[in-house]
Amino acid sequence: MRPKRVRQSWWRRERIAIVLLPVVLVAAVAATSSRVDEYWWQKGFHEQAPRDDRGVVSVDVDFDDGFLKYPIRADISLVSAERVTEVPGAYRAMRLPTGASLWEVRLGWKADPDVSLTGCSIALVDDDGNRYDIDPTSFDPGAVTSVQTCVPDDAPGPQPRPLSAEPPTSPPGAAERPASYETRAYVVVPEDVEPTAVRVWWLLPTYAELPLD
Amino acid sequence: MRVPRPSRTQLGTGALVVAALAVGQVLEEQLPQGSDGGRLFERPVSMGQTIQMRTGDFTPRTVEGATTILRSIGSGIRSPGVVVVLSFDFVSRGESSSLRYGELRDGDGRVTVFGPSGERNDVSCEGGPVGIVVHCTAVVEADPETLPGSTMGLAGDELDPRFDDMAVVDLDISAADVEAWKRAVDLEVDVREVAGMG
Repeated sequence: MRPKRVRQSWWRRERIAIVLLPVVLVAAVAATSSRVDEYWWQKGFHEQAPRDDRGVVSVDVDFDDGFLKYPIRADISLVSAERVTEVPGAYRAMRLPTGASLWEVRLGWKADPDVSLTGCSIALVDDDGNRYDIDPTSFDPGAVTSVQTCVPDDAPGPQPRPLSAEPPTSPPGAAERPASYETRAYVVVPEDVEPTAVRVWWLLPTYAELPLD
Repeated sequence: MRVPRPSRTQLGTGALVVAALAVGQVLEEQLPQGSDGGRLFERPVSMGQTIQMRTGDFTPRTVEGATTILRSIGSGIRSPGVVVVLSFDFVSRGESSSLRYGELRDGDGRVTVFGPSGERNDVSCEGGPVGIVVHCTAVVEADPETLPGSTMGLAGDELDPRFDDMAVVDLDISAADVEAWKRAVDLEVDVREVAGMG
């Protein structure tokens, strides 16, 4: 007598394939997403550096453009950010674009003097997602302002040399950068805008964000 | 010889394969190919009208022309034809953005592409602070007889403008304008100026 054939349902017969299907789909998408990193992740503000209870942000990233690599490590705190009508040391009245105000951003820095911190960017941001970058060409401060944004002009510390893969070095004769110091930066912002944070970054996606009180 | 009769499952599988091939064929024929797939999103605009581009608000102000121009920055131009100068305003949105790609589409259907060369044909509207007006110009030489009916396109990236918005300005140039421009000389052009900083 032939054994009775038990007819299985389609779901039961294909259960292993059904379980594996989502895994295969995820793997297929992952295998075709190599450009997500290059064209999205590395182009935007995606990785916020940690901020402690005192509001100090610790940046610890590597500058790495595939040619030159060196560490960037610093503790950054917000000293003040406010509208100003004059820049220290002004020899004439400042001139601003129509409908604009000028904000002074003072940051406190603590960093090993051997660490290179040049080449950073500073901006103010608001709750609507607008970013107001430093742009010295968009206003006339009527005073001499800093060339560097994140280090003292007279003691910038180590700097990478253009077109060189050598580690950053200090300019000959330059004073050693202090272990802690303060910087001032000036940002043009429309008069009716209230910025909510200061943003500092070198190579994205990592950035520091310091909320305004 | 007896032909085996397919089961319902086999027939269904076959139908699905044919349907998938048909869908693939339709997609292949209907979706844009090559460079056409990355074409710019054209935003037609008239003089004085403001349009919202992806990166900011764009307003064409005036169009002028002359056989010679004097620029506030860089060298002037003496042209055997005429130099067309479009003045426009741009207000960055979100983050500071620039307009560095231009193309003149003349009345004969020819397209002259130009960028921030700083030489003869030029558009270099570097972004100002977000929310602040920047006055800019686009300068391009042209055969005067082809100018009536021409438009000018302006977009962000001169090297790779694909996939982005492009303002297409109706230059509204008449034959009378062209005749006047053929006699005009030494048109003064402010290349770029943040509003209030002139």
